[in-house]
Amino acid sequence: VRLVGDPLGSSIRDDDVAADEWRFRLLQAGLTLHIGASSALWLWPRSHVWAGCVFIVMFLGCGASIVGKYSWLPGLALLAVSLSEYVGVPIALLPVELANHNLVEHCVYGMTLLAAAGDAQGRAAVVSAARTTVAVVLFYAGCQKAWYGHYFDGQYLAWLNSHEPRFHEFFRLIGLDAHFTSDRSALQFKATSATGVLLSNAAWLGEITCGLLLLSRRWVEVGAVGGLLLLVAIQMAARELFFAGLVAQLLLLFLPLRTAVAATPLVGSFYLLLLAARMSSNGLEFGR
Amino acid sequence: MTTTWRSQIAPKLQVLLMAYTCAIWIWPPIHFVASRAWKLNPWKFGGWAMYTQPVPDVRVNVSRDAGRATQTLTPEYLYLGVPGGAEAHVLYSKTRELWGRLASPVGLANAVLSHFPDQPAIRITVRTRGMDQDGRSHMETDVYLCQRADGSPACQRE
Repeated sequence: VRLVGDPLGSSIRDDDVAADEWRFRLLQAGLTLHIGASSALWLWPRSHVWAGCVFIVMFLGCGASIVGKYSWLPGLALLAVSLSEYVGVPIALLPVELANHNLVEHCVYGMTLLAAAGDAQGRAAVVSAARTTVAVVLFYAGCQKAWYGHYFDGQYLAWLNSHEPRFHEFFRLIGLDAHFTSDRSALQFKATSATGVLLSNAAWLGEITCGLLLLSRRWVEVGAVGGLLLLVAIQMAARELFFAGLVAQLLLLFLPLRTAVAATPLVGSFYLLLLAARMSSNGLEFGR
Repeated sequence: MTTTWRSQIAPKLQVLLMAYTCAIWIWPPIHFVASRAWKLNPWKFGGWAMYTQPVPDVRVNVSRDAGRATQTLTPEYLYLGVPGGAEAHVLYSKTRELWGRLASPVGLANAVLSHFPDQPAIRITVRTRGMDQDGRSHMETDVYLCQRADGSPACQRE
């Protein structure tokens, strides 16, 4: 097995083909963990044995992705298990089960499996497509908030503060719940202070800005770090940890290779902790 | 053999990636327009419009003319008194929440009209809770008149 240079050494420049090769392998390993963990959690209440099998295939897939050999084999198995979640769901109701990030994870993972069996150019192109994906996600998430117009006066954050306990807890934690407290009986929701309006507008403006920075050549790392910070801030309230894991992995593709490699144990630990927490406590809701 | 197989993947992958990249750029604005026009659930369908507004909260009611009065068939009545009414009501409520006005109420109308063979028509009222630009929570109402026809009933929004 030939490994392409030392990803933590200084011999690989960030614009080298070898750097893209390593990024591809890290992305595929990370997505294998993501899809595997998600499938194992889905199977866990149905069959501990099958969940265990998925667990083993997931680790084999991660290893194969890092080594760069036969990674498509366990990958295809995981993708099949993951897609089997939707078997039997009426087509008209399929979008109920299919969150937006599920679409992205299956598309990007499917492309990594194809590219793994192809050439280095294809793998670099998949890395590039994955980067574009996260830029598009951030950019349009912000645009949609602006288009719907429920953030200009903090309307939607005030609604969330009133209706969603996880958001209320977060606002209370950071001492901002009073800025979004609306009179529920009046059925009108708005931020009650300039700080609330500022925070609400910062959310969509931050997403658009980070998305655009990721598309620039000069400010791409600023965009990636900004995106990661924004993600952490949003997910402290939203707690959609699988979505967060996926977006974080895609954002890591923009950072220098050494940083991405150094973050790999964090990504692995994140999914293993998520699996352990969800499998050990049926009552705890850690989000999708 | 392997080389041939691999060499075939490369150009197809490039085309696939190109199509994928175009699709992810083009789709969200279309999603926005479609969601507004047909009341699709903005949280779904890959348009990245999560957390833009509350998830649509849909209430479906069925009513029929009973002599001079109008009888509202509550969801409880449909569940207990109309064979297939529960499934039809749940299915329409869920599809309506997702697909908005693109969801057809014909299945629900069929289940209800089958239970009332002398009834020429029923009305299906869909109330959807949403939020306006000023942050006011409001109900939007669509009423469908579903008339008995050859084969399946014909429903029209009033």
